[in-house]
Amino acid sequence: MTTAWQSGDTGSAHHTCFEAHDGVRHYFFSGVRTVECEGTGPTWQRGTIDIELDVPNLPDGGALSVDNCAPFVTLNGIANEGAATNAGWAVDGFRVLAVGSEGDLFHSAHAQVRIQADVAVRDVEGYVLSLGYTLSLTGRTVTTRE
Amino acid sequence: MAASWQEYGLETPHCTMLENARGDREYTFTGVLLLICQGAVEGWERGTIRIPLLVPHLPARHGLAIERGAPFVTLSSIAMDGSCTGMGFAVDGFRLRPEPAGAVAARPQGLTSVTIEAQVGVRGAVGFVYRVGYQLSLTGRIAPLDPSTAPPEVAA
Repeated sequence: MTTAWQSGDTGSAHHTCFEAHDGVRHYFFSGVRTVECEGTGPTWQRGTIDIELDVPNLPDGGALSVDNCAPFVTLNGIANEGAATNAGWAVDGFRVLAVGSEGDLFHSAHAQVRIQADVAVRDVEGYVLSLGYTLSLTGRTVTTRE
Repeated sequence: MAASWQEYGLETPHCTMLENARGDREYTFTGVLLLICQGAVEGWERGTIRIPLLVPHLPARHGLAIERGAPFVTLSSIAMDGSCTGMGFAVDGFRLRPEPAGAVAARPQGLTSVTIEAQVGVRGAVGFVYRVGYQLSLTGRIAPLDPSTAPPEVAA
């Protein structure tokens, strides 16, 4: 079963922005997101966590037309209350999507993007409590305002 | 790699590339390697796992002459099948193959792939590492292919 788990606050949020000679921008984001993903038994409980990020340093009415992206999500906080039997914790994969739609990230401009991670927990009283993330993002700024 | 361990290829691989006015390139690779690494009955079971990566966006008959590389490997899926005391999971270290020269040679030769090697450890007979996450920052310059380079071995 897949669950849309709730994510909480972002801590230690950082970013850099570097503009190359041809107008291509390279953003690098990093941070930690608190989450509450709970196992329910001896089989894997799977779900997704969304981490939304504002694209900073955009001109008024501007957005980023994304060329490439490389997200990275890690297990940063895990726990098991009581005795652990068949316990497990996982980040199975990750991707970058547009905010507010399931649409293709690469055919429109964005002032926000979201990292989506596939998270899994096994064993009752097993928890994933926080995820670490980085995101490398390249693109060009475009003006969307009429 | 320990005899019983197996690798199953990459999941959600991603890459960004940036080039400056001098033709220097910076790549960032991320993703997850699927594998099964089981712990030992007593003590730590240790082994080296390999993450092969193709370098994209290369012109024909050219590759990347690597200047520097910064790999990073983490535990991404760990579990125990049963109850256990004395369980442990570890990524003890990682390196890039071939090792970066530190500077592009006078007559550089390009590569079309690189491999991250990571030392993984598991403790407890019911302990498993099922996935590791990787991130690699790579800098270099486009150069003709090394004619002696064998075709790259890349996981599906």
